[in-house]
Amino acid sequence: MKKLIFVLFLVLTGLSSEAQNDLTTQFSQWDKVPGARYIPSALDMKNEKVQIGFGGGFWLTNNFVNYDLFSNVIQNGGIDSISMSDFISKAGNEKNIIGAGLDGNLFQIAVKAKAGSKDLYILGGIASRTALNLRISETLLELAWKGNKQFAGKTVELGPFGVNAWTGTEYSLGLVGHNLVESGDFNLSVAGKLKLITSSFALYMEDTKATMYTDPDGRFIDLNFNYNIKMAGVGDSNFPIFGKPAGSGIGFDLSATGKYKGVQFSLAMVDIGRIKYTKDTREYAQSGLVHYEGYIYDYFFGGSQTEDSLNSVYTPNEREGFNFSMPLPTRFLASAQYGFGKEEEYDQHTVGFLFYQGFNQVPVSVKISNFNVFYTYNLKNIWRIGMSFTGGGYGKISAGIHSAVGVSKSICWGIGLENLPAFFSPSLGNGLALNSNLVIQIGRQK
Amino acid sequence: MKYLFTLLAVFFLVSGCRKPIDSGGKPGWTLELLGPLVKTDLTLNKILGLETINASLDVNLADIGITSGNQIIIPPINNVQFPDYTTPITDIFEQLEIESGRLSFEILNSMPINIKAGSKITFFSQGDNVALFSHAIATDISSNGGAYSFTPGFDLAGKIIKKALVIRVEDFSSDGSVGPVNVSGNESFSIAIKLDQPVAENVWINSGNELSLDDTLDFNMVGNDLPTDTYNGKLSLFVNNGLPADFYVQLYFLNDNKNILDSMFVGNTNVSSALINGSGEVTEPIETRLDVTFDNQRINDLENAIYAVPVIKMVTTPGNGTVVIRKTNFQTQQLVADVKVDIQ
Repeated sequence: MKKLIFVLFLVLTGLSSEAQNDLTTQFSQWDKVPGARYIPSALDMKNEKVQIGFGGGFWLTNNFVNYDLFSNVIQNGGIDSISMSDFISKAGNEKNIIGAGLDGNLFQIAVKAKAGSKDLYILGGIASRTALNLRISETLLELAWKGNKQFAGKTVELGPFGVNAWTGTEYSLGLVGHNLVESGDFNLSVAGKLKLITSSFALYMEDTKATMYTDPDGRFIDLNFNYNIKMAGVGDSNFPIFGKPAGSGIGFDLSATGKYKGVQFSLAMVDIGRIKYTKDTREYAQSGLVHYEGYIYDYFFGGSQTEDSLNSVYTPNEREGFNFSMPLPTRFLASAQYGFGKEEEYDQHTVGFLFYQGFNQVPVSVKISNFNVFYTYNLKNIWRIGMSFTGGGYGKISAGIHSAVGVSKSICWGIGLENLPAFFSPSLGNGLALNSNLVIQIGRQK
Repeated sequence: MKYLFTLLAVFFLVSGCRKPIDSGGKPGWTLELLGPLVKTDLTLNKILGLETINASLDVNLADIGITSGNQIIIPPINNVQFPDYTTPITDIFEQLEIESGRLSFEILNSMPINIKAGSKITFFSQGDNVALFSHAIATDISSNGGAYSFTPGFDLAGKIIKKALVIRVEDFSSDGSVGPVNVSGNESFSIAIKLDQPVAENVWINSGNELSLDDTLDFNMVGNDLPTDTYNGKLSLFVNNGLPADFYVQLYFLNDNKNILDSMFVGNTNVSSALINGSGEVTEPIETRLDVTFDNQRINDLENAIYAVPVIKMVTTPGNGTVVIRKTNFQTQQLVADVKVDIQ
């Protein structure tokens, strides 16, 4: 049974580790509304008047734990020293991150309009967004796993450590100036989206750092720490997720896409902005240097405790009813692709790359760069299918396939399958994700 | 008590359940923890543990020549002095300098004559010519059960009391008996003196003097929900002794019949005295480390223990005179755990 669960786990996790940003939509549906979620300027409605999209997905991935750890746990009936040592050795840096998210593209629409001789696309959408991440250092893992004696006589940095989460609903309205600039074989499209975001819950913890020194004889432990946790939407009457808004904010997406002969390149900035939280807010913060020499008692035998210096660590200063803001997961995307094997209306082959870089550690974003390369084959303009390789971001090096198939003249179904190497070796798998989308194209003439 | 159980919980923790790890069984890993558990300071006033110092004695009429007889009339007495009375107040110290405390005394008159106002009582530390304090009774104390109490209002700071107290009664006056009375020769009034919540500034104790603290505490580890992992390790008791005394520290575990099953420390349990000079003053603290390791037999003993008896014996540093413990002298005790936990 355990093995069956594990196989199911592998199968499920074969579905797109890149769902962390729905990047597979950029490989097979870059010119449709799912792709326009991040690079709207690449939207190319050709001969449709309206596109409507629905979709959703979840993802859970990390950049340091592989499936083989879970496999060993199941096979051995528990975690052994070798597995954990291997795990910690793989977590050998301070950029370890675990991320998860639940996205629902509840409704997306693009309507073609005219402005003189130019095509304008009006974009609208409603999306639910929920994400969290956890950053944990190798040292903290080693401390939890092996204890503090290994660090005796040394000052060790336990951070960075951070937990962030948020959930919200995004209402977007955008405009794409398609081929706004045309000069010979060169076309330039630009796009901007304004987003109103309401959020019912946030957990915002900027990276915490802490140092620890253990006396070689164990006579004292010095702990220098500083943490600040802000929360919103945690009132007694408010269930954290899908509850009443605790905050709201404005965000922007900006992008530009150029085309020159068979080459298309795009630049985009996504989620520029902040959310201000005003309701049901709490803060837990503490900092200081603790010199711990044990619990202080008034008598050696039969006495009572008089002092606990560690108490200051786990007794934070609490604050309620204040306002704070959390940045949106701002990130930069750059992509380029080249189409060849020209048919009447499409390129039979497309190769390209996509790069993204987060500017903060708010869930979905990550400061670790992510790089993807992909190939997509277009079968008679009905079925795009391809393969991609990715590295960085929330995950590790991986590969996958993506597909977008026209199930009718007006309906296109897209899905991204990533993390394929996990099927061949658990040591190459490190994610769990599933996403899919449906596009309805209205007014299509052909 | 809370500390004791913390200590014993750690004792149990580092000693652990007796299940050795099965090398052919479930996988496991080892967690190694090193750090301080408990720390406490043993100070002068904790050693003395004084809540009150009491002394009392009887002042006999016979000492001023009122001897026995039936139906005699005791004549008025005017300004008579009794001989000095000496009463021991402690066997712990030779002398003690008080920082603070609340002094009071009470007179209970069991004589068939009254005590007139103006009768004076003076208190001396034994061997001193300067009185601790003196008091003239403000009101008459009636015969056959009359009582009088007084709380001096002066500052006790700096006063030195010794192990015996001398009480002098002078200017004693009485109206005599009302009619004839039977006199047995044991007629007396009592003087009780009490020093509440004394705080010592300094104390002088004879060299080689021994003080002991024993107590019996309930102890039961059975039923505690402890994990079934395997532990081993070491507890270290670091004692930085700034007191002019050797200490012997032990914790005994007893069964239901109060027979000793085991003791916490094995072998040397001696904590060496601080270094002192010729005046018995501490010149340098000395640090001692006592290590405790555990085996399965000891854990069995712990599980069967019903009582725990901590014993601390303090022997002041041998010498020719006294040693002095000042308020600034203290002993720091710190318990450190070096634990290896094999988790299955």
